[in-house]
Amino acid sequence: MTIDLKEELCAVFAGALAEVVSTTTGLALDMVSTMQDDGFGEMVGIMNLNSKNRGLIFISAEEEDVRMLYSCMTGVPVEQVGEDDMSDTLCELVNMTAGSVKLRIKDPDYMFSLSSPFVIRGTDISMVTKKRVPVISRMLRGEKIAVKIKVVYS
Amino acid sequence: MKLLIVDDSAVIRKVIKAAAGVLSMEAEEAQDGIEALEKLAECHREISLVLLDWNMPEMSGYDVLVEMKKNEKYKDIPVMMVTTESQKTSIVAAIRAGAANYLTKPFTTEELELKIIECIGEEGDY
Ligand SMILES: [Mg+2]
Repeated sequence: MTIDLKEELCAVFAGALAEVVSTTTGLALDMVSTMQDDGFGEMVGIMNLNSKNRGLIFISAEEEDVRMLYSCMTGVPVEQVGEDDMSDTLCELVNMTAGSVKLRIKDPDYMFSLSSPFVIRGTDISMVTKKRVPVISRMLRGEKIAVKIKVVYS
Repeated sequence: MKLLIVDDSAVIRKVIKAAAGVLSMEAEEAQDGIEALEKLAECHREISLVLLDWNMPEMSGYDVLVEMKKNEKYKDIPVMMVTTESQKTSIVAAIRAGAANYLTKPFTTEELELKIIECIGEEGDY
């Protein structure tokens, strides 16, 4: 993957996530980090991207921030947000982001079909990939929350 | 007047149900295509509009739409697809299969309410 393509895909995925969050919650997010970061938040929503270049998308955030996302989407107070609500929020965030990316992606080799999202949870989750596997990584931050997005193509 | 909200995401069902409330409409919920057909069998006479997600486990929203349009009892109930499948080919496929309207996720509450009204007419009609 060329650096230009990686930058383009980065902008596409991070832009889609920011738009999805702003449309569904009203929260504005700015891109704050472009550096390589292998860490995740406590909750990670994952989707397999079925395409010629097989990919995986990861969207992660701390539990507190996922609660805030749910609360802003539904109007339910933060303290009443349950465990299932949090997982569901992250799955739907992945789903909507991947859907929005499909409208923005230009290179047919990176076009994909959606699959069923799922969530993993834990502290200090990190990802180890082989040397030449391209990893796209961005952190988005707003006043109330921070969300990380990673995309891996193999 | 009642909506049938079909989506595997509970948070999306909740958001749509809240919009239905704003429009003074009741709502039934189903979390996949099979449950949607069960709900229709139970109470299709009360349903004025079906809001249908595309990607769901067990049975897709598209397959529910096709089933509905084949069934004499359900074929006249308007269906709006509410989905992340935002490409033209998907929209065309759904409209050809008989969907009355199409809303792509993500949507704002205002967009959703407007689309619902578009499907069922202004308040006088319901
Ligand atoms: Mg779905």
